Amino acid sequence: MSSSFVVAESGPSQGREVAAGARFRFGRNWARFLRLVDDQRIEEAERSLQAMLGCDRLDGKHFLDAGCGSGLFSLAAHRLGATVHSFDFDPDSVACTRELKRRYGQADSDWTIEEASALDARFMETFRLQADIVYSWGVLHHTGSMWKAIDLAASTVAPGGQLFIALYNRQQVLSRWWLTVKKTYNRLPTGLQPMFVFPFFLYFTAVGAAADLVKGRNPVLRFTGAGRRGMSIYRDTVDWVGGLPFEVASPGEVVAFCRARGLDLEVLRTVGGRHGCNEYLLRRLKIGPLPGWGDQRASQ
Amino acid sequence: MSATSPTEPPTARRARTHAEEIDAGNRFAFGANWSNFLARLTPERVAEAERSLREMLGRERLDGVRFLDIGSGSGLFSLAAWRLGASVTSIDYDPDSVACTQRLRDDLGDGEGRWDVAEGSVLDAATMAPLRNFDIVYSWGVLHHTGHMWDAIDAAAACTGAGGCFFVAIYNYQPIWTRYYTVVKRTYAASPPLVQWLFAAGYATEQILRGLVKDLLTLRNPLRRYQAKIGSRGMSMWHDWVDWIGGYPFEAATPEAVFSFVRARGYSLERIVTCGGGQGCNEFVFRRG
Repeated sequence: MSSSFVVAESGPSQGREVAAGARFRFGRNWARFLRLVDDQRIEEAERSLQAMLGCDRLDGKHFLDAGCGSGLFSLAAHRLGATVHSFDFDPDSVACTRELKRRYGQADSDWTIEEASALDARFMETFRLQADIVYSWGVLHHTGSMWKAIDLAASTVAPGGQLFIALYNRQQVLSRWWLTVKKTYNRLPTGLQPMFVFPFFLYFTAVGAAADLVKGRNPVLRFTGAGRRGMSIYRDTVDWVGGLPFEVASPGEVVAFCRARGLDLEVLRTVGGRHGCNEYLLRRLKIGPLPGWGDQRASQ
Repeated sequence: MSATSPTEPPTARRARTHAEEIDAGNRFAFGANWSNFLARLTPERVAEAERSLREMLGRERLDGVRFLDIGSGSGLFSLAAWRLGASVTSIDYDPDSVACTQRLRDDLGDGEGRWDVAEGSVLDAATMAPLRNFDIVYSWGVLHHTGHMWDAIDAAAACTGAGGCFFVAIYNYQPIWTRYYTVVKRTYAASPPLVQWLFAAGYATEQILRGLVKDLLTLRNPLRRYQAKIGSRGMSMWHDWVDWIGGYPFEAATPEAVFSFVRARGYSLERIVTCGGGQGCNEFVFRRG
């Protein structure tokens, strides 16, 4: 496996896209999240991995974190015993992950971190059919070429291995509205961006608190990352409002696309038609291709 | 929403017949609604039904395929499968639906003996026991109307043979609306006909206004949706609305609840079409083994 510094040669650079107002600085948002990371959030992240993957430990597993962001889930996998390979397109995210490794990582561990693009076919080829768990949570819809990114991520899953992806849900009308919101955010001067986010933050917080009260839960808990993968509500709101490039997918599209690539759906979690991520856990079967009718999208 | 497994044998709760349930105001007369729909059946609707089957099942023809239609309703999809070459068995719990399906078979199907129609409940073990090893088990928008949805899904899936397909559509669960409509439908089922008509008219008005607002906001011609004349899957808009507002018993499930329930019984998901979190059915095609 290559651990050299591979960057997409002809592909767009992160810096150029940001300068053009076409890309949100995801990594900078994660850098600000880092100071919130504590044992409680790390444990919550571990629990979310254990729950979805249906196992307590990841010893001996090769865990590929495609779009590691803050690095929190690479760290969780590392603490659960996996051999971790983290990469991200955003230099700030790579720096975040390195910082988490410095703070919490075990010295003699097998945890590689590098800057690379999920759209770089040559880079992804180095993992072909090798990863036991490919983890890419809320990432591939931010590449600007989501289906190609899913295709490449799927190609790295070993026979019997799992692909755990989360992708924005397709909403009939609202998805278009959110795209406008994100474009607006990225065109605003940096100083005005927090002011643009704040009304959304207030709204989501109010709705979340109301839902908690109706269901008899403590509304304060979600601010500690409990029940939300250890993540911060404010940082997630910034990520949502700013997150560009932006694409969406319905569960039907994802299942058909992955099945055509030999991946069988094991666990599904939808957001019930709202905005946010649907989560999919898929497994590459050890024997031959799955019965199916080919790729629906390739013909489009 | 409860993902409970059967705790008592399905036969134990066949205490009441279809007629008794209707009389007690506990069941919508689905079949009466479908026989009304049959009067307006056009070749275009049949073609649309065939197209929807071909698309979801991913094949052009069903020659030599054993096709079980559980809750055949109007019989439209049994007819479509029959026309695509399948040997069809249609069952329904509602005598009017059975009569509808028989009429379709006698009028539009021919005497090849490839199409059996019978009255029976998916919850009745004696009815279901001989129905085994089908290549395709089809149950669209039916099992959530049985009063025991999870038992019904379990029993329907079991009719699929190894390598066969289980094609099921189940109402989408919505945290607030599912509860609201349960009350509305229960009230409808217990009301006299005039009140029922008012319910349906009220719901139709709401749907028309909703469509109008949506079309205006998205800059589409608001009349276009009515000019097509054929709803999705070849169904009629009005009869679908009546079926929705009256349809009781009524249950619903999230896509993941249906998926994990059927998967746990040894099926893999081939295709899923969600209704985007709204009101309506999520569709699934599972393959056994």
